[in-house]
Amino acid sequence: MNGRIGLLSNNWKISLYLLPAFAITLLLVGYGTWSAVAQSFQTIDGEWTIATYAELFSSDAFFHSLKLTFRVAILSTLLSLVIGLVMTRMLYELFKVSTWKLLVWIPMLIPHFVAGYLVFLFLSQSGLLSSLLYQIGALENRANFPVLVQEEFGIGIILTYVWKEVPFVILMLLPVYYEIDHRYSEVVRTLGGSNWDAFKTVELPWLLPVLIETSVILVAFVASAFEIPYLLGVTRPEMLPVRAYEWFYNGDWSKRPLAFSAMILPGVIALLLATLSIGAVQKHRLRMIKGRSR
Amino acid sequence: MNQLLQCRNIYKKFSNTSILQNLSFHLEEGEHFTVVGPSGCGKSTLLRCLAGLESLDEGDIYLREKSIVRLRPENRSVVLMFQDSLLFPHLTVLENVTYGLKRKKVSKTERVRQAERMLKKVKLFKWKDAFPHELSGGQKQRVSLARALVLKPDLLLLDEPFSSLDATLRESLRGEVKDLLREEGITSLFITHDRDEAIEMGDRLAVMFEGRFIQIGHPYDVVTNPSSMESAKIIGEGLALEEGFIPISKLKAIPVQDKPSIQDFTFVSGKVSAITVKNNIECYRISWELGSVLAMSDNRLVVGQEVLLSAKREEMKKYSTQKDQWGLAQ
Repeated sequence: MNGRIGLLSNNWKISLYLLPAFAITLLLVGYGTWSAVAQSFQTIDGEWTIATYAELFSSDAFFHSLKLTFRVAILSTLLSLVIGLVMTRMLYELFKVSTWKLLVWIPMLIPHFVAGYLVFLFLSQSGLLSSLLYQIGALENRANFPVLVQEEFGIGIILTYVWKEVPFVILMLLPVYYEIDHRYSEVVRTLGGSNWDAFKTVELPWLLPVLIETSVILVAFVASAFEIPYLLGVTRPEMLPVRAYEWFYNGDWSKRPLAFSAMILPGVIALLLATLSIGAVQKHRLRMIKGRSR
Repeated sequence: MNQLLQCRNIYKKFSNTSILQNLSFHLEEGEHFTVVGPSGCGKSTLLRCLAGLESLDEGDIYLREKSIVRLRPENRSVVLMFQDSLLFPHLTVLENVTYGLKRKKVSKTERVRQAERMLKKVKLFKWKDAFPHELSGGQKQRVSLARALVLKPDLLLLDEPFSSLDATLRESLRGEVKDLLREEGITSLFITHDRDEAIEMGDRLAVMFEGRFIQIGHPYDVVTNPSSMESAKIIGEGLALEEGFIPISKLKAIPVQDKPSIQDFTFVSGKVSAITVKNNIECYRISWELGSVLAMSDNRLVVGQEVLLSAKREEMKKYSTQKDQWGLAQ
């Protein structure tokens, strides 16, 4: 009985400690989300309607933006995961030294709009890289430098996100690598498996939950972030956050519910992905933790 | 019997510390060879070198008369079983046991058949669909053994596989494992720091000290007739002294107030630190500032009682200096 009382009081204590953070999140994010959802279902006069969503789904421009948004989000997430995974796999011993770790994490300290500006400065046709190549004679004309920013595919946007997100992937994967019992890899080898088998059997099952969670975070972030596509994207098609920004800030206030609905949609997709992925990885993770030899 | 494994003059260093020093030995086909030695003497490194997980600095290893030192671990017919079961936690028992067969491209039907046969042998067939976290420590270690044996390796290396289990389970598993190894005709090299385990598991026993074998022989001979003081301290059942060894059966603990008989010689004086039963005989652990030993007594002793350890002088066995073909004292 005493134990129960002790546990209860401990739970209360934890709840109390978490209350300020929870209250702020609920007030700011919760209220903001609720307002956005409410306004997406209202006319400018405050009447409830689903007409905004009907208009959104009948708009070709919206679907072009949606396609571009998820193409950029998925490609930059996949590239970040692969590069981050390879770097962590190769260098996790080196990352035990804080200097190396800090060096890799530098891009995380730089704001996204600064990163976008840097990419523009370096990779545009009139940028530093094309100038350098032109100066050393590798390019006859600076116009021959490939168009990497402000083009329809979103190469510049993808490159910027990859540069920014790789350190985040490493940050997420490093603790997992330090937790893996590498004797399992030796077991694989003595049972006749190759290094690749060892990766598939030992490392991947531990990494999978984190890779899935990280990819959901990255897709949700990239699909809803505004600064980089605004700096490095083209006018048409633009990514959803840019389109939403335009609908919100142009002179026609009747477009404001469209701005909200355009951003709620990726939000709902991200929420669905998060719910599905948590459900999928939780059982796997528990089995791994309980079943390991320690 | 044919020679299965030959290790010739192997050396291994980590930084500037020599771990294996000019180690040479051989194993016969179907033999169970046990290596006993204190922690840090190089036992595990020896197994890792044989499995290919560590490279040698010098020397050669022959398996069926072919050098294997340049082969990767996956290309040697040698399986290493670790102290912990190290079952893959996300795979079922059956998937764990079939794992190695799958790597060897054995068809699914055949690998399931072989794995199920092996699971029946280790009495875990009904657990085949369970995950490792649903098994006890002993069951996990039996699955690990099945996973190794199903591959029918030329050589099975066992690195203190029972050390993480409780004493009762350890004793029952020893017998089971030895029977299974015999049934399957697998040659094994078993390392341990547990004296009783070393004696029970091996057809031959090697005593390892500071990276070399200091004695190899039949377990009974090694235990009753150690070739050096180091060997006597590690494996001998009795009192290890500079000049020789007195087996436990000849050693008597006498209360200090009783005078030893005229033929008896007192070697050590100490105190009773524990009372135990060995082979249904009450034994006393006698401790003194330099060590401790088990001894019998004609008297009923109590913990803390001061005693003299005595024996007839002629019962002391001098350490042998005769060398065998491997340069070891016999």
